[in-house]
Order: sequence, then structure tokens, then C-alpha cells
Amino acid sequence: MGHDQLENEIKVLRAKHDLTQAELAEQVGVTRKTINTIENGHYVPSTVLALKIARVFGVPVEEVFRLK
Amino acid sequence: MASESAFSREVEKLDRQRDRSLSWFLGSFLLWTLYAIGSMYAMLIPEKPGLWVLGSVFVLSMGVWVFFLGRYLWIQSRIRMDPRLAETLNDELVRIAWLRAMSAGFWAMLAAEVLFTIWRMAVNLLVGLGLIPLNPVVFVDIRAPLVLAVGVGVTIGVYLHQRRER
Repeated sequence: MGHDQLENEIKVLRAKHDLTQAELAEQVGVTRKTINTIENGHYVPSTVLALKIARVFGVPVEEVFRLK
Repeated sequence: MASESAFSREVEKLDRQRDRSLSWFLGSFLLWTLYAIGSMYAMLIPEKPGLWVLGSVFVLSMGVWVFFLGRYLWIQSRIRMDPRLAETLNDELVRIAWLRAMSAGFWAMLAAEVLFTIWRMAVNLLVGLGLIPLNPVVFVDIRAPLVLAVGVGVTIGVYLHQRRER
């Protein structure tokens, strides 16, 4: 599965929750660069990391990530 | 929250320092390799004009890469001492980036070795057939530094490329 097949709403959800990339990174235990590459669609996170991100926003993982 | 922000700043600082150390190490190591190869050819020249300048660059670039390699290892040991820092700064993207970088470095080294061997065999054949003159320049053995530079360059280059800001 190519990276271009996965879309995400991280930027929108971060704005809703007033979170910076660094703050989200800290809450899920990764570097800010990792959040940056996920947000811009250059890296597909593991299931565990995807679930952690969804948990921070309090939504199901399908609302954060979806297939194109 | 204040301590969390301090943690974020520490992560960002160490991450930046770590990548910068790798960039400086790579640049100075490639420069050093270039001069190492150049000095092998310089041995063939009876008169060596400006050799002390080349020697200074050789020593200086070696000093720089040794310094930044040491700095990188020091940062890594500092990160390992704090479990939370270690988990964050060695996250899944860092591990995957190293894995891909090492794979690319391995294949690049193999390709460099094969290409160099083919080139050497072709030169030997052409010399044997008398199509090119027997010149010591073509027999300077630059294989080891060249293959090493390709391996190190591709590995670190791919790693830094994978982790760059988008």
C-alpha cells in the first residue's frame, strides 16, 4: 500500500484542539518531525501510533486517518 | 505543563543537534575521503606543489569528522540515560529511517564494489591488449576509500533525507 493512499485530518484536529505539532508529539511520545511527516502524508504511522493520535483527539481512528 | 514544554524543547534541541552532527560528520568525512584519494595520486607526482595545503585540509577535515562523530555519540549516550527521552528520540520513524538508510547503504556499497571491479578488469584487459599505455595512475588502489565513502554517504544521506522537514 502506497503512502499516497492514506489521508489524515491531523492538521484540522490539531487546530480544533489548539495543539501544536510539538505538543501532539509530546503526548504520543514521538518527535515533532515524526508528526510533521505523518501530517504531510510522507509517513504512514504504525497502528499503535495511529491509535495514540486518535486517543489524544478523543475520536475513532477512522476520523483521523482514511483511505483515499 | 511547564515541565512538559521544557521536555519538548529538550527533545527538539537534541534532535536538531543530533541531525546537525550527522550532517557535519558526513560533509567533512566525504571531504577527507576526497583528499585521501587525491593524496594517493599525489604520490605519483615527483614535485608536490602546495602539498602542505592539501595536508592541512586533510588533517582539518579529519579533525572535524572525528569531533562530530564524537558529538553524535555523546548525544546518543545522553539520550539513552533518560528512558523518556530515549523512547521519544528513537521513535518509529527514526528506527525505520535507519533501517531504510542501512539497506540503501548496503546496496550502494555493493554496486560501487561491482562497478569498480568491472572498471579495473576493463583497464587490465585494455592494458594487456596494448590499447592503452601502462600508466601507474590507473593502478592506484582507491577502491577501499571510495567504497567506504559511498556506503557512509548513502546511509547517512538517506537517513537525513527521510527525516527532513516537509
